[in-house]
Amino acid sequence: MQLELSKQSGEYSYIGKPIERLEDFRIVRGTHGYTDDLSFADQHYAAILHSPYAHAKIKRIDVSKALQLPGVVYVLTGDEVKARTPPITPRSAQKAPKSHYLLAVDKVRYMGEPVAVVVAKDKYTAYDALDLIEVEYEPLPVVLDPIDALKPGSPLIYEELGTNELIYDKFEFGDVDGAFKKADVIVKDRFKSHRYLSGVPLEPYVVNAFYDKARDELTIYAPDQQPGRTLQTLERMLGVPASKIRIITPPAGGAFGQKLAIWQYMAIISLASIITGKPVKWVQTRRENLYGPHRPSSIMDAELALTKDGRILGMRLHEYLADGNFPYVAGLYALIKFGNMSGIYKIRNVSYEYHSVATNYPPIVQNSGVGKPFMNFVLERLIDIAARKLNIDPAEIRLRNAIDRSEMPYVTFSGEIYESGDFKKTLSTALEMVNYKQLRELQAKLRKEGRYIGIGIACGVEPGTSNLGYYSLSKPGEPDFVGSGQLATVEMLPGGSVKVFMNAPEIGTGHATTLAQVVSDSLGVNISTVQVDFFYDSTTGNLGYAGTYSNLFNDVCVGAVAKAAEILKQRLFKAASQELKVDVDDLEVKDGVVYSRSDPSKRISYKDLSYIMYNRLLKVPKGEDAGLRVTTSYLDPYAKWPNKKDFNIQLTHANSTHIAVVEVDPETYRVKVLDYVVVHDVGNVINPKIVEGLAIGSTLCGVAGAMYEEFKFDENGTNLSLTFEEYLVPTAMEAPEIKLGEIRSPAPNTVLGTKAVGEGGTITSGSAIASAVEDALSPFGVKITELPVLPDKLFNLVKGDA
Amino acid sequence: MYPKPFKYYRASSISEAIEMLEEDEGAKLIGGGQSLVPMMKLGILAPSALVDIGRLKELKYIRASSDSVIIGALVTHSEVEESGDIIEKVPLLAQAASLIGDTQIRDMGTIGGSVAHADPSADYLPNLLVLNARVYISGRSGKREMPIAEFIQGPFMTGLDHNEIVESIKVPTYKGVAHYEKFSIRRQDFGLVNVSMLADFKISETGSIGVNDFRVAIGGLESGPRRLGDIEKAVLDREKFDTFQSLKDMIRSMIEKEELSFQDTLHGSAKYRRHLANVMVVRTLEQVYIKARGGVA
Repeated sequence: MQLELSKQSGEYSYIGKPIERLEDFRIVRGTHGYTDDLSFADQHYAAILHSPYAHAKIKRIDVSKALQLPGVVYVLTGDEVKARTPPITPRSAQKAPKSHYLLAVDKVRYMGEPVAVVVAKDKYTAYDALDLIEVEYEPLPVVLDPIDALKPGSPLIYEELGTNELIYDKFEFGDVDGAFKKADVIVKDRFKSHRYLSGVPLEPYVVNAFYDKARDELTIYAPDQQPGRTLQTLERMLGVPASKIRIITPPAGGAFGQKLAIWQYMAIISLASIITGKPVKWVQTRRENLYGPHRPSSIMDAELALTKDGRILGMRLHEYLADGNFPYVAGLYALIKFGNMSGIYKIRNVSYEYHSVATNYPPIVQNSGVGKPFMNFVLERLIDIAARKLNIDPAEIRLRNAIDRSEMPYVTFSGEIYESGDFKKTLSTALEMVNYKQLRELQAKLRKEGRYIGIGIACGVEPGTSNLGYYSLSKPGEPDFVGSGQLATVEMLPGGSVKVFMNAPEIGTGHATTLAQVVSDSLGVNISTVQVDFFYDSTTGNLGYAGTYSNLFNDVCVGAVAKAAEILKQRLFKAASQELKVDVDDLEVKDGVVYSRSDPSKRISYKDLSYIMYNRLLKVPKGEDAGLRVTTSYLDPYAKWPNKKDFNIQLTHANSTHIAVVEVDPETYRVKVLDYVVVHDVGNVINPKIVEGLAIGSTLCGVAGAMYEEFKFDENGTNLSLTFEEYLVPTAMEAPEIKLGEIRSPAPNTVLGTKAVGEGGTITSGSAIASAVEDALSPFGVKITELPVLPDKLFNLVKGDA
Repeated sequence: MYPKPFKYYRASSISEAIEMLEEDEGAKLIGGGQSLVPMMKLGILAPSALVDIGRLKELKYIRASSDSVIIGALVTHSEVEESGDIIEKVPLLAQAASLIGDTQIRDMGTIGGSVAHADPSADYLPNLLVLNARVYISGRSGKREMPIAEFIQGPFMTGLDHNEIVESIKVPTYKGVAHYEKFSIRRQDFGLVNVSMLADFKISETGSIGVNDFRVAIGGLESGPRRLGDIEKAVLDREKFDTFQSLKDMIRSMIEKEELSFQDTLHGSAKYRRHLANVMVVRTLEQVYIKARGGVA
């Protein structure tokens, strides 16, 4: 549905304006109401005991001493969990283990796996009690490498499956063998993706659950990014009907997708509350947060076939994903990557073979951009290698292969519909911003002086909104979820004030401000009268996958709210028409007053109309409901049922070009970013200030993963990166200045022409950094096939010890 | 990230703090707490009691005289960084303080705490070694002092007894120029290699260098920070270098041969750190030379 709204651009009071964020005043003053700020009366606290081993049998657990500690109320272990809850089942894996529960049962499969939960009257007692729990482990052999894990004789993560391969599948589009036969040049390499989190939330997991017997209701406070899904999961796991569960999602102190896996802990803490009858709060420590889940590591063998003038004919991919264990989202990083694998280029012949492999790594989660940073990395690295081999400038080879604006909307090999965009202009604008030609001359001059400057170019799509097809395409049977939509409620209260309930929890990305702008312009009211609830509450209604994820906000969340506001306005106009005896088509609204266009003296305020609709019920127009609450849903019109020949996984496609200019110190191998330019096209923009922040912030998250951040493990699967001293989140001192340029190609399939924003930086920046470092070190013949580019890694590469 | 239970005492004088330490073998002093508290939260240390000396005014002073600056143990890194007396008389130490951790750490952490903790990669230590600093210690039987080189006995090991308190650090003034270089991955991290150098060069119009004083120390070693005595001696013995290049060549060849042992760390292998030591010593020398010629490093 294309709303009237989108045709009025230029006349808005708020949309398109860089208004200050409504959130910031609350955040700065400490009144934003994060989950840990809120407590129940008689609040109890939980602490969790985690496995110190990556793989071990649990021979015995003795909690008797812990229970004797004064203040300890209860200790939950795997046996009780097994008696009360079903095993966790995978969403997308072909093979479903039946031995993985909310807490470890009989064995542990990763370091940090939860083994027992203490409930006590205060949090210090809860933590002290952990030391009194006796667990006897028998260590088992550990396997981390996904290729090793597929070899016969490998330790098995799930014995009942007889294999560690949770998914194997193969896809081919076009004629890949034919393309490679015709090729003048074939380039190939093995690329690796490392384990990190693109964006580590400063607020870790926090859950506060209370099963209130008086109301017979389980209330859970938690910064959950997908509470709609969690509601259904909790019903299934806990045996409590959804009608008796209320999930309240306070603003999150950062999420980055990591909070899509908090549901496991919501279930554990809820169970502890149901058993004890006490409200139970659990605040994860930083160390616990860094145990995982993370972004998975993986290995990809990739080949590109080209003509001698640099035109891409085909691509062949074979990937081994080290999906850790906890198979819930195994394989998630595979098809979302492949579905968008051709990026901004015309590539019709593509094949992909993949293995999702269980290992003793910690679980994985849908971290920012999911598989797309590595998708972009493999594609852009291949193109750089091809450019060098063919002696074509890296900018030129990209321009030669980019989809032309005249071809929009363009349907890719996998069925993605690129709704709009001018990829060549995005790239050429970025080249202009860095003075590309002069920059190359400067690079050559400085090279003679012994300075190693590198220029890295990366182009990428930023797909947004998802039909979640990547969960179902490798699995037999009907998918459990298809399409992409959200629900919203917009309500005018007696007196004319407006309340908005969003299905997209606040995670720091300015949703409330953005929606207040949309609603104010839709209704024609002053923004000060619009209150967007910062807290998501499941009892206000939601669809199955309500949440903030898959970069869907600007599409379906904005769409649902705009549609609800539009319906509300139509209802108010109907009442005004009856009251003023003016035809609806003759009505207009300004500053909350409805008036006749032909006779402006005929006017009535929303306030007076609200009293009619709430109080003077006999004046409510015939056939209309009393009251002014509108709940409605919105679906992206491009969404289709996914199938193996036509994925149609994501529904909007922003794009960007990143150019990184770096200098590598030839003695210390430190990489310094001298200049960093991003030009992005995210369609229309509701709040330019917020969008600028998202673009720069997500770029810095990507640069962090490219230059600093990695979870490192020893051969026993011990996580060595459990504090911020070892896990190198860069600070403002390290952050390069990001220069942002913008072009706008409105999306035809969203109500305001907006597209996704906030993941593009993380998707494309790693490729730009890798490209720049490789360019700088080209005299040494160094190839960058994995990140991060820490100095000692480059030292080893240059010295040939890698 | 929760420490084990501990008792907490606040001392109102140095002698009371010493008594409190004597009462409990497992007690530890806390000043700024910037190393101790994280170690307690991580479960690396579990002292039975903390004796808080953080409010003892008698440990918080900077006293400058013509030949030295005496710095009370509770002076924070920020105060060292910003002290006019320290900047004027021993600027090397102010430079070192400015590179410690992040702003919060510099505002809370103290020089006495850092010295007593003796982290092998601490920023102060190679600088105090080069400056021939002395550590003043208070104990039950009175006061004593030790040269920093004797006080630091190895990684996290000092000449301090359990019932003693670092009271102050005396830093002699120096002639010439000095410079500190640190290589850390992030600005706030401990250095993979730290190098401190002090030189009193007489540079002639032809560019020859007369050496009146030359000291260099390296931090981050497996065995803790130390002076590079052989290099110092060789430079001092030769007294005069015709060119800076000849000085640099000599130091480069000596540091490459020097026996230096580093540990593998997560973000820097022993081999890389050893390589870095060569690079950093030469770079520190270059900065010292720029300063000696009146430039700003």
